[in-house]
Amino acid sequence: MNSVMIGQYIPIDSWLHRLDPRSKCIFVFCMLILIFFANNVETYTLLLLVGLMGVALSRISVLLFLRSMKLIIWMILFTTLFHLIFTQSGSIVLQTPILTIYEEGVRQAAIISVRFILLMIFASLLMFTTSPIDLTDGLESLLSPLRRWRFPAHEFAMMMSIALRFIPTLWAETDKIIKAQKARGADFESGNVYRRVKAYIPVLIPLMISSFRRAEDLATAMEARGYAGGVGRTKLRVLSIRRADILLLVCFAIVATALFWMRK
Amino acid sequence: MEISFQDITYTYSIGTPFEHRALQAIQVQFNQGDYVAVIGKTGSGKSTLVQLLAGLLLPTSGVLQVWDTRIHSRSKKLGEYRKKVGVVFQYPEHQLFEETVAKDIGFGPKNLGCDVAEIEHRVSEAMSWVGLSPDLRDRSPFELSGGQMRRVAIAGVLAMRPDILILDEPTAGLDFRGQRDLLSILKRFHQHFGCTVVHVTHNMNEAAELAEQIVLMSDGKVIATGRPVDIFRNLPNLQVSGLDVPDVTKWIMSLNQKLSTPISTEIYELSTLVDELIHRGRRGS
Amino acid sequence: MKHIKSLIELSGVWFDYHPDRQMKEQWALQDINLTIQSGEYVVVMGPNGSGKSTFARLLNGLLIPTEGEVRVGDFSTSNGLGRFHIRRKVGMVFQNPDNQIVATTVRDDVAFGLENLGIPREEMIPRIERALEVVGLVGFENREPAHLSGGQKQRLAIAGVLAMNPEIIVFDESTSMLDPQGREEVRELMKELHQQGQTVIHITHSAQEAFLAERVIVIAHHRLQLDYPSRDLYNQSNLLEQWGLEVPLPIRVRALLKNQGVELNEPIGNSDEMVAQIWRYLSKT
Repeated sequence: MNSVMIGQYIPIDSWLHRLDPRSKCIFVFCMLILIFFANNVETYTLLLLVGLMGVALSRISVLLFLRSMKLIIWMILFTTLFHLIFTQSGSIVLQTPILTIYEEGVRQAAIISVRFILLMIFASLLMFTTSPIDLTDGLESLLSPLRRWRFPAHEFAMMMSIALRFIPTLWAETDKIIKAQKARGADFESGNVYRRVKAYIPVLIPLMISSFRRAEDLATAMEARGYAGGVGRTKLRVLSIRRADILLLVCFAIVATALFWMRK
Repeated sequence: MEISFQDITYTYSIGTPFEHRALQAIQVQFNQGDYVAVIGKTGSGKSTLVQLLAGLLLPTSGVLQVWDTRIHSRSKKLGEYRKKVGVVFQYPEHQLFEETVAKDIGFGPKNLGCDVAEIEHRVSEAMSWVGLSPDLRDRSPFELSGGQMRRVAIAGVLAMRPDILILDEPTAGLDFRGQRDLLSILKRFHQHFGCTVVHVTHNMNEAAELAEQIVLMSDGKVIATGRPVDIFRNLPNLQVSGLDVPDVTKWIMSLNQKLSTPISTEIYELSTLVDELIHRGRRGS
Repeated sequence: MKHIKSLIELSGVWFDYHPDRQMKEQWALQDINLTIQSGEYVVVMGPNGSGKSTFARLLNGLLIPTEGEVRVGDFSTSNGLGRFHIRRKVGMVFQNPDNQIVATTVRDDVAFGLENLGIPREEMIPRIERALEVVGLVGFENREPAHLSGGQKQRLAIAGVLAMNPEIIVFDESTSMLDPQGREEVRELMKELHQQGQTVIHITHSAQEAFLAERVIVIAHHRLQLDYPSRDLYNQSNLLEQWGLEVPLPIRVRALLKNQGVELNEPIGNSDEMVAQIWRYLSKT
């Protein structure tokens, strides 16, 4: 059950929760780009501070953010190791008979790790504080100008919203099928990679079959409720930009200016 | 007492906003070879209880003692233990995956390490137990009707010849004849192999008809345990748990409101009830 | 004589999913003729695989008869314009509570149908509120469907249909995947809707549920077998056994008594009348 938590919306009330999803999406998207412009200790510290402020404003337990870091810990370890071993420039920091570590390697490893952590903080902020339905509404609205070039913004948003709606259902189903096959003696824990992948076939096939069945049922139910695409539809939800949203974008402008001033 | 839950607690998603205590201080024992029914409303903890028994979840605290195996919060390598326990989950037909009926039923025995001849033997035997015709062996399970798919899935568990057979709402979604057929299969299988059966249900008729011991659960706790008559006699306990008496009992109770000497509510078989009525009719009551 | 126009009319309806590949005597539905008046509470009963779900889908044009015609009010399901109007008149609640909820919150899901109809937002809001009030889900507006019980999910599906103001609601085995509590919730709601003048059509294999309606239609072996007021069917419900359907307990008791030479012949329409009859039998001496 625990892995469900990663990236899941936490339904509490906070300043961040109440923002318009569009401004949050734009803010997070721009922050993610900004990360790649940081290039010294000052700029990374600035971004980390902004991230931590976001965490504080979200009123969500720091533990949950740490938990979402578990997802990328292996990526961080892997790239760190990669850089420590293969980057060979700058002065030598440590020399052992099997491995020589250079200053540049340590620097690169640190930069990559910090970037991953920043990415994860901002992405989690968006996912934790924005309900799936707000997120898809926001995306539909942001993408709708693309309709002029025949981009199916409504269909895209509908697909995404249905996918989000069914994630908990499919997760519960996966859990149940794994347990059922385990109870029939299936072994998911031992053997080499090939054997382990093969062990998941008894899970994947039933999961696919049930997903098709669900899709068919859902399509029938949608048809019975008069769904016929985006044309002629009205919407219950309306999005509105308020003062807080403008404040958020002003904050971003300040951070961006500061960053470009501080970077080397 | 070969199976005993000793002060077991189970909590889901510890340390998250979704933390939820599903079981609290569970103390209960099952006798080897008994047919045990676990009854309770949805969310009473009965599914969690049997998943612990199946070795699919580890208790948060407390010990589960099954013969010589002790299961606690840090138990490892339960693979061997799980081989002795068969579990039929709700809607088990949703776990089928093989190309043919025979292969799917043989999946469990194969995992147990049986050789080809033994697998073959067990598949045939399990198919005859659940009443599947041998010519279905090489058919794809996905071409069968819903009721037949359910039988294939159950045969797949019976073929493992478990010492403990766990069934979670095995009759859900079947029509009346499908339910009756399945219950009689389970009854015969239990009598023949003498395995311990743990049958989770919210159908009181099933519990009254099959069980030697009933465990009544509510709100993550065991409220009462005993023979069916002990459980169904205690109306307040049932009401607190949001459950009812079996249909026969309910009907006898409405008849008893009119009778000066009430008919025993410990009758669960219709034929016994009818004998009693005829006996009273002759005697004149 | 004044001609009463019926709300739903099936005349000479034959249907199959692959009519070109099947012999006509194996079609999924064969020669169905019946009419349903406005405000009726009808149960369509049949074993699994009898064609009763196919029947349900013919009523709102999800399926179109291979032969014959289905008319609802002034429209026929056989043409596109007719189906457009019929979908607005006939609401449908399906079997699997999980697979018919589209949106990620309760309020948005009720809105889904209204959005499809192009109802303006100001009108939507009171209609959603009213629908949630009828099904008793006020206060759940922002809940995610994953955090609802089975019964609540089905009530949500009903609210989604009610908000669209249909004349007829078809329940296609909507209780079969629920626990007893959820089942009770949905049955209560059906009764309430019927009392408010809705036309309710309930597809089920449960005898218990069938006799809650005013009229019972039995579909078995792909054909319409019986069509009786439910009181009349109750008295001769041992007929149901031949199609694998459940016979109510009092009628089973009466049949067993008859086997032993005790004939109780007064017609009965429900369980209480059987209790009274037994009591008279026991006190005759």
